[in-house]
Amino acid sequence: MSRKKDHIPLSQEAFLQNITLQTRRHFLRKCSLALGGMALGGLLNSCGQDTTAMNGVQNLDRFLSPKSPHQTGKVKSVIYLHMAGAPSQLELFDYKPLLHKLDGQSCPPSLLEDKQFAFIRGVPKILGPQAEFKQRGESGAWISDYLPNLASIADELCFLKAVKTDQFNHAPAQLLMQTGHARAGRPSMGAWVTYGLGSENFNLPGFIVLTSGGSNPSAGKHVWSAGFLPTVYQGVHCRSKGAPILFLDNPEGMSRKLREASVDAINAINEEAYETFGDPETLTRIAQYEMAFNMQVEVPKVMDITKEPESILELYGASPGEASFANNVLLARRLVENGVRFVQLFDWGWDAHGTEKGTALDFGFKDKCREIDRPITALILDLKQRGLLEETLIVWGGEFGRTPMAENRNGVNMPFKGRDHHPDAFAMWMAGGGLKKGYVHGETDEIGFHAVEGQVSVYDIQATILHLLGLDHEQLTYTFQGRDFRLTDVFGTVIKEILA
Amino acid sequence: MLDQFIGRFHPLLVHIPIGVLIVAIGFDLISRRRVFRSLEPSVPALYLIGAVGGVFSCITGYLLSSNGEYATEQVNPHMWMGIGLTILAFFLYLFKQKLKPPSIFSLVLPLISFILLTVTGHLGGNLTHGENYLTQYAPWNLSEEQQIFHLTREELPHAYVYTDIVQPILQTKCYRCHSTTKQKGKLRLDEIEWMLKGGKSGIPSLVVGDPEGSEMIHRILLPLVEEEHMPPKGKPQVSSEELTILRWWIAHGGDIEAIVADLPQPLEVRAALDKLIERGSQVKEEIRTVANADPKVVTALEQRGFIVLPISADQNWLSINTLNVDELSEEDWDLLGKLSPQVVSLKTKGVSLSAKSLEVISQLTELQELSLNHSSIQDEELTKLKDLHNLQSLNVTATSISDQGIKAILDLQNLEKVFVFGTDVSQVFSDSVNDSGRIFIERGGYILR
Amino acid sequence: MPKNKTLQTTYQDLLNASTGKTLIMKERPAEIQRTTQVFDRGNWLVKMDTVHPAIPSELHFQDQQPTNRLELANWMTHKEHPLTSRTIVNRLWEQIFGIGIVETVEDMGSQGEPPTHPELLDALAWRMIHENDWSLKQMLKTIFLSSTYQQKSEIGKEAFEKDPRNQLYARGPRVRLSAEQIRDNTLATAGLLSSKMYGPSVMPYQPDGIWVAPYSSMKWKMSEGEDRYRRAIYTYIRRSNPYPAFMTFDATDREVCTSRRVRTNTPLQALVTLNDVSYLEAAKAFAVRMEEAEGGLREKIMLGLELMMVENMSEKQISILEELYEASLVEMAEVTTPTVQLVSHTEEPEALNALEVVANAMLNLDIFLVKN
Repeated sequence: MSRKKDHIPLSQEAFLQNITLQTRRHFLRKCSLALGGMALGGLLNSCGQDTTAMNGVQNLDRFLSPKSPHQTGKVKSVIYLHMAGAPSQLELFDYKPLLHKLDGQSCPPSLLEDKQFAFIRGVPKILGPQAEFKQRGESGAWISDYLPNLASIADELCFLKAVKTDQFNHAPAQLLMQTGHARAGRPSMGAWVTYGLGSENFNLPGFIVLTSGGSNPSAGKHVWSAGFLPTVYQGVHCRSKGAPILFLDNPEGMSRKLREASVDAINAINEEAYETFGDPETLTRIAQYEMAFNMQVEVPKVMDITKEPESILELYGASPGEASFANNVLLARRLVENGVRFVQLFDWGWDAHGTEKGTALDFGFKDKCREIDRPITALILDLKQRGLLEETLIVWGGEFGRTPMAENRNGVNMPFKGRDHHPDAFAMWMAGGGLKKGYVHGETDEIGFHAVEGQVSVYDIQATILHLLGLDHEQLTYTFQGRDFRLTDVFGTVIKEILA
Repeated sequence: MLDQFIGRFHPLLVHIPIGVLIVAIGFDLISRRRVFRSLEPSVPALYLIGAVGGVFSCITGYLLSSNGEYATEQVNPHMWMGIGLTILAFFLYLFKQKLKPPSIFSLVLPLISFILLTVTGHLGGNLTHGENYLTQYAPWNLSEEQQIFHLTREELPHAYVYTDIVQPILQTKCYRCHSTTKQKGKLRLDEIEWMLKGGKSGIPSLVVGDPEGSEMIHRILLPLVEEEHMPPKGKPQVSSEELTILRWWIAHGGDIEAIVADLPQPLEVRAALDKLIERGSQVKEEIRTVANADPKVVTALEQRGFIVLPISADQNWLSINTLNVDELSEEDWDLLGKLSPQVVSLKTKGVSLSAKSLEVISQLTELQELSLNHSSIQDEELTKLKDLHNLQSLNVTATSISDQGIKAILDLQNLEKVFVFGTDVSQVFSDSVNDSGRIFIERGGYILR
Repeated sequence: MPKNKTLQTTYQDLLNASTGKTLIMKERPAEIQRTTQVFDRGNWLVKMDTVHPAIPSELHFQDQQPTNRLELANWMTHKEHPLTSRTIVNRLWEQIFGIGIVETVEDMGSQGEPPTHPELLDALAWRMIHENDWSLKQMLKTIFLSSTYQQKSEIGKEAFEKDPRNQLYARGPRVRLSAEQIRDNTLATAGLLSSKMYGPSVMPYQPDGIWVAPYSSMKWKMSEGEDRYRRAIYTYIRRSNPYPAFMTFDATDREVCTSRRVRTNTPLQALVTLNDVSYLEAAKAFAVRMEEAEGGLREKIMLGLELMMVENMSEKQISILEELYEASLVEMAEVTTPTVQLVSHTEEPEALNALEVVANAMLNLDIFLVKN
């Protein structure tokens, strides 16, 4: 709360001093005492808050104050890299040499029985891998040449090669992945995590969402919604242009100094109102205006990647000023470094159906891979060198996978090489604290169509993420409409095999 | 029906003869001493009351056993000993009142009746509560599941599905009411033939190959509030893994001979088996604990913006983060020092360290993680950390530390990782330390091509 | 069919006229009604007993044969039971006092909270049926005119300790206004609120870049003229991209039925009322309105307070506003490039700018955002 007070005219200085010294300081002290008491109350109630208590005196501290996890957590924060549109595992991590051989042959009907596809109709043709694969690092994980940098740090990654989801359309699948339910209305993972653990930085939201690729994910803001949890747990969508948080900037013509004077005046009057009404809510409001005023400076400071040295910008391939995935990844590191609990990145444009050059596996898709390869690798290395990788969890994945068959939309073969949506088996990876390094869990059959070993569900992944944060997915509940809800609904088992 | 109504009073009525007879025997024995001679006249009356109570207990007991829920071989000893005890009590009454026996009998008979009383009572208790009831939680006993289910991962593929996995489940969750001791609802689950036959309702508990059609599974699946739900409300319930195993076994033939490797193992079955094994092998880990931190100190620090949090909801070890504090004052460090028994993790960023603060840090001997990144720490000040024997991870990124400083702390026996990105620590030095294996120095400075 | 030729054409025209269409629920005729079966423990693949529409037999109500929606409607409004009116009254009470007599307004059954004042609830419910003839307006008037409601909302320290959530009603309610109320109240105070009713939803100011969705060409096109200042209830709501200022103030995204909103107090809310263009426009208009007062600064502020319906502003509080005005003037004079954001329709644009700063502060006061 230190503020610079140079170049202030005398009259105003007197005014400011009057408020700052006598009222605000004195008042905030009183405030913090009262808030401290409430925060303690919040702590005592931390989890399993009963809904009846939710309507009384509320304040931010009660909701967002940091809380202890159920068990000792391995990581403190999560960076979730969601490739919206669902990247093809068969071009990146799941190497199936047999597909080369079968390339161009008609798909055997036995595979198509009882299957429903988003776009494939009739009998499609098998499509061979479009990328060159090699085994990488000491672990020997297969990574294609589409991700050359990531391949160089294969030993940091922990693969889930047989993930299964229930949904084969983008919006429901994204919802299932992020909220544990295929229809909108449930709280997202980030909201659950901030509900369970609170936020560390008092000047930043606990759950921040960054988007790139020119569009929000298909499921819209529901994928970072607070659902039925109090709205404070909703993901704050930071914009890449203009003020990072909505309404953060003062209007044109309103200087910082003037804003300070006005916030001080508001708080001074509110203080009087508190004397009259004795409503503790007023105290909280005073604290919130003070905090909002601080955020106006703190948020842009954290969000400003121009502060990074040239070497770091170079490492990420970030160029300040544009809305890019690389910038978002660098920003994610800065946020985690500053105590943000859950950073959710969505990068749009992975829906490689091959309907045009931009969505072809050997053109547009390849470009997308190049766009993310360097920043993601940089993120892992940068967190590692700062000692943050061990207390951060990085999750990479789409909402489902891609078919071994080439897409033939409405029975017509595509002009470019593309694959259709495939929910039964796809690959994701995690990196960071509490995980085995250079480990592969799960395996698919010879053409990557079904899991043959180590199949995990979306719920298992959610349970595991919560587990690494120290939260028990069965205990993290919220009572709504007469029953206790949880992220994993009635499913989910922690994937013990990948835990270190 | 009436017989059952009366019969159910048995567990209640038996306490009358038990209590009265213990008093009678006690009075009988101690009244031999002169001080308690005055008690002697009451002894015959007490034996008589006990004997009459015993008669009622016998009658109700007989009625209760007639419902067939209890195994005859278990009931019989209890019944005959009960009857014997009652007769003995009458005999003692007559003895005391009328016959004035020789003194050897007057000592032996009460002792015999006391032994009889204890054994009968114990057998009765076993009938009602099950045989392990009394000693289940005895300190020398492992938990029931652990005791019964003790397969290891290696043994699993060759284990018999029924004997080694299914039966232990039934034993902990069903046998108490549906086996040799008791046959509630005329049902026994300790032999496959009994299961196929079912209980009073006539619906088979086990339908081979059809878990959903098996009454046993149906009952387990019913909501807890349903009358027919099994095991009854308040009794240990079948866990979801156990249920998975039961269904799996039934679906694949309900065979006694099958071994685990014979049956296909879908994902959820494997997970369930895993969980059961884990539970069986769980040895209670010794967790180091610590007393609760002084709440006043914690609150004072919190008001200054410190994040002071127990590392988990059930532990008192603290992690402290100074993220929201611009500058740490001397008082802050004082307060931090007061938490030295509890603090295992201290994260700071960009603090300027005074002599005082280093003093405090050197006292935080429980510290496992210490982050002093972007701080003013100097090489010679690192020697202050030499007593932090629990320290595992030290972060001094973006400071003016050099090889010299790091050397001073390489002796710390638990130290595993040192983060020195953005310092003057040399590549040669860090490589030499890393080669030696125990401590890893992360120098960073990665470049991508 | 009328015989007269002209009448016939008019009739035809009327029948074929293109009017707005309203969807209504209609019961299917008996012959095409669906059979409804109970799913065995929720499993829709296992169908159990066939069921028919009826009033739950527990309620012992039989009005007509066959049982249909009319019977349900009759039951709901039947004078013999208070269930419907209790629920309504409780919700009205919650709107007014912040907490319902039964706090869990969504569940007045055995899973909910018991009422704090059961007799009151019953009395109001009875009145709702028998005296007010189901008129919500009448009911609201009754509550508003009660001496319970008209108490001062001052909270003494002791009173707060005894009854922090005012469930004993020893004082008047003091709760933060809802998202929609805050917008309407601000616009009304600024004199901008449009009283236009009905018609399609409107799109008031919303920052750029909120509506970015793939596979959709929908755009947020700011409404013109008074449509920008319609009541909050007319604001266009898109579920996947809800109106941000409302969401900050605990409105819901309308995905699930929410009968009770949790009231939060966050810094993001402060940022909305301080910096959202809608609220800045309101501050500007409010300043212009205050400017019209005869006399000096004090009179202008007094007029503003009157418009805000704030009573008993203390001398000290008013002087803080005056000082803010002076400080703004000084600050404005300091800035070398004159500010451009305001329409300068007075001689002294700085003075109006300064007044706007004051107006913005006034519209952010606790007493304005909270119902006293």
